[in-house]
Amino acid sequence: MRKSNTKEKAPLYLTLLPIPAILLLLVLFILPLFSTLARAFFIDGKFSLETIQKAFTSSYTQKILWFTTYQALLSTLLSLAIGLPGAYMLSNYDIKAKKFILAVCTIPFVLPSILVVLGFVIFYGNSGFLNTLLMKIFSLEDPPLKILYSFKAIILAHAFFNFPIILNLVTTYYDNLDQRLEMSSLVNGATKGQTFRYITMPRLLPSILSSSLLVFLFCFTSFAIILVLGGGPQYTTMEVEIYRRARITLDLGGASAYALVSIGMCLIILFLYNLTTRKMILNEYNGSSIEKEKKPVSTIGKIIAYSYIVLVAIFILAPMISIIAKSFLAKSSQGNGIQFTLRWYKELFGFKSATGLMVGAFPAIRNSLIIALIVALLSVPLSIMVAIGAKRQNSLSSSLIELLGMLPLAISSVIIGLGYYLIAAKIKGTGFTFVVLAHLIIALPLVLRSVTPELRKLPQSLSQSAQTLGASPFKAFKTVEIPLLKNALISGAIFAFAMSMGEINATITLASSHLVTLPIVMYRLIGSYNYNGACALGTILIMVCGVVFIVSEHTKRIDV
Amino acid sequence: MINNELKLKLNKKYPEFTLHTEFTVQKGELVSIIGPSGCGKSTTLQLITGLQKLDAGEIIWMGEDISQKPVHKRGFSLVFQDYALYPHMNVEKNIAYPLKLRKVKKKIRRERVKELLTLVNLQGFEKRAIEGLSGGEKQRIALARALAADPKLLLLDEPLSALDEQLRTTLRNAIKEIHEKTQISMIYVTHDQREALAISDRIIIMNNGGIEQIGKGEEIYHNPLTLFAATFIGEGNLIPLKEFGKVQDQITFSNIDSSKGTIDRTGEIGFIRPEEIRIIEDTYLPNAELFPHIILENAHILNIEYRGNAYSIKCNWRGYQLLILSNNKPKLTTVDLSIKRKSILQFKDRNRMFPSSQQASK
Repeated sequence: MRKSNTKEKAPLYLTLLPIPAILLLLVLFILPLFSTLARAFFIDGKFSLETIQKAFTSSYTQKILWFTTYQALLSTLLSLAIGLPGAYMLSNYDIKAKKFILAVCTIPFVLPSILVVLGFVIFYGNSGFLNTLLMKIFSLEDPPLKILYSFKAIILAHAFFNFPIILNLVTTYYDNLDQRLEMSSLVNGATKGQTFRYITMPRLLPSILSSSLLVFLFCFTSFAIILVLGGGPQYTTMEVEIYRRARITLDLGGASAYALVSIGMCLIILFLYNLTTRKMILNEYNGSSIEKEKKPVSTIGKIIAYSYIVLVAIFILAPMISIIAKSFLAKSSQGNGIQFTLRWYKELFGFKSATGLMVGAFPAIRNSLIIALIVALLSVPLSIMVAIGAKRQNSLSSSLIELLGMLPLAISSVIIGLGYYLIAAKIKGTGFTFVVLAHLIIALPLVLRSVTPELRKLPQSLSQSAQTLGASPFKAFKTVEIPLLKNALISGAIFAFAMSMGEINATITLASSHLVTLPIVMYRLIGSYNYNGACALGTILIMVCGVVFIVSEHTKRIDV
Repeated sequence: MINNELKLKLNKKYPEFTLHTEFTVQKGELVSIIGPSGCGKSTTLQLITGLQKLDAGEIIWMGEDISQKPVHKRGFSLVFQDYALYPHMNVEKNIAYPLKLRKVKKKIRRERVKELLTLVNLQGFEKRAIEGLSGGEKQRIALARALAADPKLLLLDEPLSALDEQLRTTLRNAIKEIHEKTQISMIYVTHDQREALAISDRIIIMNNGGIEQIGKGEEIYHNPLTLFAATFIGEGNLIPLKEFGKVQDQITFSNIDSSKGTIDRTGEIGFIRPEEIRIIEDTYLPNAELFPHIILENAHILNIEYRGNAYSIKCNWRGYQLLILSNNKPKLTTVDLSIKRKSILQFKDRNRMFPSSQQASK
């Protein structure tokens, strides 16, 4: 009887409501993709495989592809090295700081990449806080850590961004493993080490593999970090190359061909990711774990555990704190000292005449706020419409939405930017509209991830009972379902807002040089070594992310 | 004069089964629909409310076919199994929801909510949050909210199935009382036969999307029309009729027509209620049975349970396990069993057959 309820055809309004949203989404997604691919296959209006062939076979491409894969692999390994011990610790010990650690680890999720880049420069840079501190302590002449603008910096920044993914996913999976298997193994006479090796590890492996592939994918399509920290042509990845060809050497065909290669690679990774995720689901995952009351036993264990917590906190928090600190500092007028100042903020908001790139900073903030606001406002009704489609399982719109959730993983934001750039160039549209559209399409999966599960959780009987009590289907939706989704919608909109505020990949690929946004000015300021100005902007961005962080902690949605 | 307030002909095809039911509800009547899960009883309610659309058939309310009316215009309230209370509203707002939809003034709304809370025995609960309520309280609130809509017909979809035994008894009495007070016609879906027997004027037994029998509780118990109805309501013993061919009919008094209770050997299955079987311990004593009866010899007692009001005895006769309710505890382990012939209900193709002498209805 209950089964048959879901088989029932939905009321007309439910059938019709998602259609415009889905159409719009497909247009928003497929149009740029199509224009990109068309560019790769056509030369002067004629079909040709030449560009593709060149892109695939040239030794230059192979070099870039190799480097992209290599750095992604190393970044993943480093993320694993940092994340797995944490996952083991958090799952096995009853640590008071568990909540704190998991909360701190959500910070990178909401941080825009340009902030991470800036934080790294300020904290780990040659004249950054860490080096200055080390030089003072050990009275050194030269900075001891020279990692910036090198391969190491890229890997480290990627690890910063991605180890929390591994920590989070593996910890969650580990926590839900049936602990009785371990107990029976111990009872059967296995040592703790043997039990971990033969019983726990094999069951944990799919989750480790799956989170690793996700990290690998993110590192493979990483853009801003490589653009700034890579610093030279020897450290170029696929995404940077797409941007470089599109916007610097103006080789649009080449850029499109590279986009095609990138999408192909991403689809392969995504396929493997799906494979491992499915294995995870097939595993026992019954959530009947037994409360852990264990604490690190030995003193050494305690020291290891707590130093891990402290190091992780420093690793994540120090770069961000450095940005805020640096935004209030300037070289003192006497000479080589450093003093507190509000100069950068005064310049930013026009209280003091600014020089150079700082002139554009205020309009950039304004632009970013406007764009983010529009994106946030548009994303709410759109996500409601799409989510309703997704609620109806086994329907066409439902599977389309599942697809939509995965597409942004395969098609990077740089490629979306490229697609809209190609369209904008063709129809001479204003960059502003296309930036909004690009941000919308990048933000929507985020909003949907916040709204769809909540909508699915609502029992059908709520709306049904409202109808039997005399509410029209629309009225029932308005008075019962929408109020219950309010929190999810608000947090979704805030996520969209923050994403748009910090978005640089698509924006820089797509926007004309006249349209500046906050992250773009930051990027330019970093490029011209005006770190203090960049930090002042960065601090504003941190505040926006702070709000998002609080909201996401509040709504407890830390899923990837 | 329309005697039948509601007249239903419901047809709907599902992948698992086809629903086909026809019944009526009279004014002020409480009708139960009972059946195993998946039989289509909840679906029937959904079809009546309009939450699901009919493939064919009609829903006649006071002479008017309302099967094409949208849900919110039918004026039937449905109480859901999961209560379906709105978590973002407090108790008062939940109950006042249908009143607010009808644009009832705030002051009157408040009074009505108070009345309804008194009716369901939850005075002073107005400002409570839904989250903090117990299951029983939630179900009372859901009932109050359904009544607030001033429904022409109240449908209840397994309203008590999520509650514990004791609460179920209290609440079903509350529902019966409310029914008597308000005189609103109700259709009550349940899978609990005791619940159905306790509160309903009539019971509809459903199985596989169709109706097995409609009738008063006593009627169905004593005179089930199908094997399903017989076994679903109450307990009973099944013995293939051919087994009775091998036993000797015993007629004690000659002035009783021996043709009464003839066993039709073309039938397949005999059904006997446990209280209709008598245990004979001393075969040398004359059997005190006045009516034509049969004797099943040498039944072995397997198990005796004391139920307080009677002994429930399990015994084995020729490989058939029989359940007997008896006031006396048998002392022997091998006994004879005596059954009145008219107590053997005979079934063929799962339907009741009526040998000439057995009355069709009581």
